[in-house]
Amino acid sequence: MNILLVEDEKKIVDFVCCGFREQGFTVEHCADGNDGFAMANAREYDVIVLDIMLPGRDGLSILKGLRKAGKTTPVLLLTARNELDDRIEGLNLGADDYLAKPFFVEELIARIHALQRRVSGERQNILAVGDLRLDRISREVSWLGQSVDLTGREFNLIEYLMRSPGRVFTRTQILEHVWGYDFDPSTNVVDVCIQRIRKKIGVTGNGDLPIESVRGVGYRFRKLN
Amino acid sequence: MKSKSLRLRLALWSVLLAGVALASFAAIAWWQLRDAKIEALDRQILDQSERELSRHWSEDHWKHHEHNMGRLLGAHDIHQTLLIMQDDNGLVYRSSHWPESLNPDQLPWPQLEDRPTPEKATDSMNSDGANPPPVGREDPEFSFPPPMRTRHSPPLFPPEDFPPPPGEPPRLHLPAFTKLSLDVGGHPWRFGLATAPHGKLAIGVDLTVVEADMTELRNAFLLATPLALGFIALSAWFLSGLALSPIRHLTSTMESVTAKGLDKRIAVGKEDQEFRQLIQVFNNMLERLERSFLQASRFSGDAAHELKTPLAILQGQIERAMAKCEPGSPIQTSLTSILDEVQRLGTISRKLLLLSLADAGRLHLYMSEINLTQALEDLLEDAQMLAPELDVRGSIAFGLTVKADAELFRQVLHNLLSNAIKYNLPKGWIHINAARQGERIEVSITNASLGIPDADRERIFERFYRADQSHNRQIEGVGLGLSLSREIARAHGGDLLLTETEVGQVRFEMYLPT
Repeated sequence: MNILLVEDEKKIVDFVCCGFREQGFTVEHCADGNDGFAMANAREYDVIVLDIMLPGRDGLSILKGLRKAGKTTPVLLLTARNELDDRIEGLNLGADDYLAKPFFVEELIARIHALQRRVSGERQNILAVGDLRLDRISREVSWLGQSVDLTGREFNLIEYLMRSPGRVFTRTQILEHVWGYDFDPSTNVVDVCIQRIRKKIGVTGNGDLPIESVRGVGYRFRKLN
Repeated sequence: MKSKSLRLRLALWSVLLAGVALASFAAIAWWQLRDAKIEALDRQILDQSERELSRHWSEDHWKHHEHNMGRLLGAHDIHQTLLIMQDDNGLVYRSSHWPESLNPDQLPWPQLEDRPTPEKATDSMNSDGANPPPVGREDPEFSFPPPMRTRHSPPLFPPEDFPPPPGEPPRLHLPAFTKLSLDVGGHPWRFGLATAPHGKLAIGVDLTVVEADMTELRNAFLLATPLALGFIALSAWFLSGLALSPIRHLTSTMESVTAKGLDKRIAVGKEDQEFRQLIQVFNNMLERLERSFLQASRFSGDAAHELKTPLAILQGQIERAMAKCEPGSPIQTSLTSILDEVQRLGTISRKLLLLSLADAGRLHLYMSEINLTQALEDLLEDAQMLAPELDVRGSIAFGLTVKADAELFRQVLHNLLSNAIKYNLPKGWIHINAARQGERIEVSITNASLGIPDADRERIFERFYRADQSHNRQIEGVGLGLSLSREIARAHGGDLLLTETEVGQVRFEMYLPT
């Protein structure tokens, strides 16, 4: 996937680019608004990630210019939520999503995947790791060929873990993605939810449960060799 | 001490001052009028005495004269008069009802005094050095008015009536007068005593009529004064209300000034000359307040905003480092707890920003279509997961959607749910209901509870109010507070209410426009 990142804070660029590359994304980066607009106009990207506060042309102006020029490339705005009126303008101007700082790179990647799916349609609808299959559109789950009835939270959680098999997600990361960042992190809701998923999957078959807990850290989806 | 209304005090003071003024006026007027009446009577008596003393009269004449005295005195309503006349030979006439107790000899008859010159005659009119009166008192200020004396005295006593003793130089024998008030038979009487060379005349008039007049007048005053005072009280109340109306205006404006309405100013009215300065000072104060409030609000907003970039960097770097660690290694475990704390910091800064925006009235909504049915089913699920010991039930209509700010709306729901769990009873229950009610959607969360005391029902929506008074980690967690939840509901055109329920449960209802 080809991504343009327009962001002037070098350290943010560092870890975002790293995260993207690990996901196999191709990243082009630009720290100036004017250059960013020129690049976005000149080439085709799958997703553009725009910071709002930029030297030169600001993110909203770039977005406006792109939409005016007829570019429909999905745009994700990096905003400080609730900041000012012009953040609303971002969505009105045709931004496809926004993410508030500070954010988890994993969350940014998940959002980009979601954007990508929205644009490209069917291609990524089926997520399958080992014996577990997930249909993102019909929200059906099957384990060893047998369908498992998962609730909304359970589905979102397992989908989040499945997207990066082998990677450990902390409870806070899971909470933020599945429940929203304002959810009280001291609750054990993540553990309860994982237990419920395990129970439901365990009932339907005998295979190894794909979700592993990592002591003191969180959970991960078992990577298959 | 209870503070009293300025308006009331103004009115009371007005009444007090007006009351004192009215009472003194009435008293003085009453005395003056009484004096004037008695003086007029005195004058009549004097006239009579002067006329009657000019000649010797028989007893019959005096009798007749007494009979007509009332008319002669020019006062028809004077019914009781007394008369006594005695000359050198003794009593000429004495009224039949002259009281025995009143000895004519003991009356303070004025001394007749010879004056060689008419110029000095005026002085002789006064009785000086007379015998002290046996009863009653002599008016010390007694004197006949000058015009009378100069007009009447010389021609009234022609020398042919009282021829001077031969061999002496011609002298004017002027009668001397005095007057006094006496108490006769329990009634006040006014007496005029005259001494002429050929006899003494006393004329007494019953003052009952005068006193009756004065009593009537006094009663009129006693009646009119409270009426006037009542009128003054009403006027003062009205006028002070009028005078205080700019203050009330000021008060109502001050009341309408909240953290969100600091831009309000009081219009300087044309008629408020005296209040203009106060209003200007108040307006200036508001302006400074608004400025510093905006600065404070902007500061916490800016601070929260400024925190975001370093937090984002911190969070991203830790996340990266974690991904590189051996899963479950000690370093990954400690990085996890660092990441949790960084995330908590991020949440705090977001909440601060939200609160500062809400305080400044700049809580903006990112409206989008929300599947309310789904959101509430998620909420039900959360409730089951968060509180497995509770009996959680839901009755949620299908296909409910609302236009709302997804994040803020979710926060309100989480807030209501966490309250329902926190203040539940052991092995209690939670019911979540949602349905369309005409033009609006009604969401209610009911839980078993000890109940909220009536005193707390109003305060529960106050900022920073907590029923359990635990303020630790206020911003953290769901702790948005019902105050902000209600503000969010209202910003969406709905409302959040604590509704009356039967004992043993608490129900919050949220209304949202469809």
